[in-house]
Amino acid sequence: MIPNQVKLGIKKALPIGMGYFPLGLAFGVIAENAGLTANQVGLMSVLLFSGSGQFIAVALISAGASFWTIIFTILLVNSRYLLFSATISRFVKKLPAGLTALICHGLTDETFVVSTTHFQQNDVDARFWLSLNITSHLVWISSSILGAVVGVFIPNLDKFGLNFALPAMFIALFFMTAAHLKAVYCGIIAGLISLLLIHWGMSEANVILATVFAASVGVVLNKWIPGS
Amino acid sequence: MDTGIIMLILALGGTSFLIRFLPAVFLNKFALPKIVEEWLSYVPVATMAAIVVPELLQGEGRVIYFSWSNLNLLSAIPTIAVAAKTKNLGYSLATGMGTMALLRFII
Repeated sequence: MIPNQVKLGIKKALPIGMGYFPLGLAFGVIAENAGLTANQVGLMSVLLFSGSGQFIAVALISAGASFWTIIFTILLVNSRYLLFSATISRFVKKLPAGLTALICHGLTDETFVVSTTHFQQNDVDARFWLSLNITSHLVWISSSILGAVVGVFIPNLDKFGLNFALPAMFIALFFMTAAHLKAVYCGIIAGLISLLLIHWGMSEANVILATVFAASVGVVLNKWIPGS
Repeated sequence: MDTGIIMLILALGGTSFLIRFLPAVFLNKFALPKIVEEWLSYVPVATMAAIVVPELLQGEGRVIYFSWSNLNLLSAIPTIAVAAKTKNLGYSLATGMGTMALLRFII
């Protein structure tokens, strides 16, 4: 018998998996072309579990970047996880540290939004959370290995619209997290700042800097414009 | 070279784990000030927008690329409509990828 919370976690992970599958395939193909073996691809997907992080890491590897450049860049690109982790601290208060570690390792943009949205209306349940994260992670691992193994035989996936999986996911995640009008304004500010930072050539730090700035604006706006 | 890649992957995994784990496990010991909680509540929506807005607008080497050939931007229109209405990841994905596939087929 599978507990209901586990089933619910798997069910909520399915749309995430639907997005991860083409992305993982694409990642596997690109990583294999860059000279990584299927085992290395699998290890990276198990340990790093970060779409944008892994794509950038492989791009840097094939560009011959140094060890520390790669580590530092990925830390910067993934620094939003620090903020996500801080956000979930209130949900893991009652969980043992080992379980928290396991859950935190599965923290991605997608699992973060789906779990925190879920916990706004439901009690925190480690079984739900773990099965959501692990299911998503398994899809990511297996599809990236598959991409690395059979990559050369896969036709151009772009014509099936798979290259839009990531933007489509983030559009959905945006609306899932935009709980009220102020949050939407905050998002618009973040988007504009992000563009501006890229325009200024800061295409690694744009997400974290835009987030920090826009969240601060959100707090200030809320102070000045109460209600609504 | 091979051990170099493995070392790199281990280091990437280790540092990523730390940034995912340390804030959650240290900040849960005490209640965060209200203003910090509020600040954090804006983080998800700001992050998603900061990632997706450039994805939709960039193209042909330009930061903002308004063109009928910017398929990401065109595919975003129905996706945004569906996402705003349903707030459902699966429907939004299907709409987005479906539109993109259709545009690729036509153009």
